[in-house]
Amino acid sequence: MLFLRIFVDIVILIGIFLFPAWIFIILSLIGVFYFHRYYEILLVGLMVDSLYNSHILFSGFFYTITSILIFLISFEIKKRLKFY
Amino acid sequence: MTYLLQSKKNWPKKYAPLIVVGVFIFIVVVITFISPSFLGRVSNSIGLPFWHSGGFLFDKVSDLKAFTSSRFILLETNKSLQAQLTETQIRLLAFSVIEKENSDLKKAWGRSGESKDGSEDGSEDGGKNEVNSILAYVLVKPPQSFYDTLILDVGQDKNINKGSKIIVANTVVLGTIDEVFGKTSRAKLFSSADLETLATIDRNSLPVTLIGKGAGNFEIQVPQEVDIVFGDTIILSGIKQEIVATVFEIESIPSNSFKRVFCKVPVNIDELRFVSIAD
Repeated sequence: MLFLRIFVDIVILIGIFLFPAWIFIILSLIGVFYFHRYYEILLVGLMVDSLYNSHILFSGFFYTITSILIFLISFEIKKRLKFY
Repeated sequence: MTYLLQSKKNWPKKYAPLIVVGVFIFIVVVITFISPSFLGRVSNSIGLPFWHSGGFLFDKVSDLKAFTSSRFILLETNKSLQAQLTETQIRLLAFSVIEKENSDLKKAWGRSGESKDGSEDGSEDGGKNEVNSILAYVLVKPPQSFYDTLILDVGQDKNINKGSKIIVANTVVLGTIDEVFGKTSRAKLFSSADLETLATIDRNSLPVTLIGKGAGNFEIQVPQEVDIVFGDTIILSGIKQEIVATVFEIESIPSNSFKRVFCKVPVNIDELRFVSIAD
């Protein structure tokens, strides 16, 4: 499981730089629900914002905030899903 | 007497994700306050080798794709491109005449282009507006990049300045340099969502405000009586004829006092490879 997680992390990291956005967004969402406490999604959001957005103080952290919210919401959703 | 063992209080584990998120937010806030461009610099330096190798690989893959395309499709594509090239060359002849006329008029009005040393250019070529520009390779473009930005392979190493314009084919201006890093720079396109750009309709010099809608698209809202038609060229306000967009659709509802004009950049941003950066 750890190796799979590392592999997915590497693919997402490469995807941020090379692949269309929908690929690593879907992988990140799969990762957040498949793996336990997928903290890497926070870094994905931060990296996207720091790479592609201009920051005027704190405006422009849209994807960082979104990834934080997805991360926190995923805990509640996982509690309610029978799968877990 | 037996005593029941107390279960271990596991509240630290339960709240660990919240603590991690809190620490993460704190670190990001502190770093952004201390050095707003630090995260961008780090991300760009991590991304640079990926972008260079990715560009190399994608070029090779697209070459390989040519081998698998059928000959018939290639022949048809070749013919169509030849025809487009001939038509473009003919138009270019007319363009060079108009360009000469434009520079003659500017010279007559005392607005000829400045030479590199800043003095007014009085040369016999009609004061051609030579711009000191740097060629840059586009490492990342929409839709791969978010927020309608371009990542270019030149930065402080090539003396790129913030605010410099991104130009294609010497006439179409796409945006401005937003952030400069060591070896890369980020350009924000005028078509970024909700970005407003002051411009002018070339045909009748009417001022308009372009509102970015992303992916090279703009919207203008003008009163119903404003003279704007399909194909009109929108240029940046100023002496230089820098094209920003062309009109491709007009939505006019008689009951509304305004009509919506949709414009787009005349170049295909998805196929951008090289741009010029000029002050």
